[in-house]
Amino acid sequence: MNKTPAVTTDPSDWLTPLLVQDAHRDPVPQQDATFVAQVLTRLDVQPADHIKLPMPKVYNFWTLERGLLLGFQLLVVALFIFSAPGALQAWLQLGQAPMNLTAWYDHNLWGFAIGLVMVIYGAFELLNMPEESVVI
Amino acid sequence: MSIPSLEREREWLLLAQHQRDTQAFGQLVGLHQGRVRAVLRKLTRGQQALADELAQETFIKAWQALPTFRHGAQWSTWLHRIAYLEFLQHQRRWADEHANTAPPDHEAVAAMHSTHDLRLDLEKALAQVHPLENAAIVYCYYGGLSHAEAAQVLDLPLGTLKSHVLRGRAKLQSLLAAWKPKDTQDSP
Repeated sequence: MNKTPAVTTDPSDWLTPLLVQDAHRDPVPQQDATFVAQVLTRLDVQPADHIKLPMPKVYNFWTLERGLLLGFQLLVVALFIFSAPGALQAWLQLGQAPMNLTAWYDHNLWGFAIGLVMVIYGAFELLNMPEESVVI
Repeated sequence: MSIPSLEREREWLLLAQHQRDTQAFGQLVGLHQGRVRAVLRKLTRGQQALADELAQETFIKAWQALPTFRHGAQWSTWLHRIAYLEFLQHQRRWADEHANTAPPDHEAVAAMHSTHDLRLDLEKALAQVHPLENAAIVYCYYGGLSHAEAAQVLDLPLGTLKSHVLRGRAKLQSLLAAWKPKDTQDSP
């Protein structure tokens, strides 16, 4: 991830010191027990029985990586489905003559096997990819 | 009080998320309230009561959504994202309720101040740039976020965020030309 700090120090840059100066004027106290107590009190407040609050909706923010991986997965699955009949035929031929080496070198069979591995690996990566969610 | 270590913060986060420990969540609120409130104050153009109300809503929504938080994401960025969405929701509500009234007049705000200070000039200048440019500058300079983190908060590609910051800065430089130090001004 790009961790470039937003505030840079350029001698000809006169705006940044102004912004920084303004940001440090009247700062919010770093310790505010009253604010924390107000938040914690509101966490404990249960809605009254007669008031029906809407159920919070959870929105997931899909990252670019997640989208790209999912798109790639869909492509692999489509190719996987198209190659399935050829792979099945190759598998049946292999079943009839397991010692026939030419049957083992059938590209349909290997393509299917590699596709299967890619789908499983992609699904694993998708499930373990971090996502951000927000309740609205 | 010293700033707690990242491990300590992660521990509070795990306790709050998995055991719904309100005390641990309180520690997290205490740790992050300063930045969240400071940014919201700037976004709401100095309306402290409104900014604090939005900040409280932010932490309550963060508490509700905490079980869905994945630890690959950064907690502070996630929190700022909630705060920004809360601010946008408020903007929309305000626009709906005041559809026929004029937006807040900065001249009226200026009249309340005895002197035109830097803050007031900056408020007026920031009000004149595009809302996204304003938000990008606020998160980068007032929230202390990196470009990448600010891009996540505003849900923008990194390049777009950088463009917004550059364009916003260029506009601010022309609007705040009076604040330019004499020794950096071009000679005639």
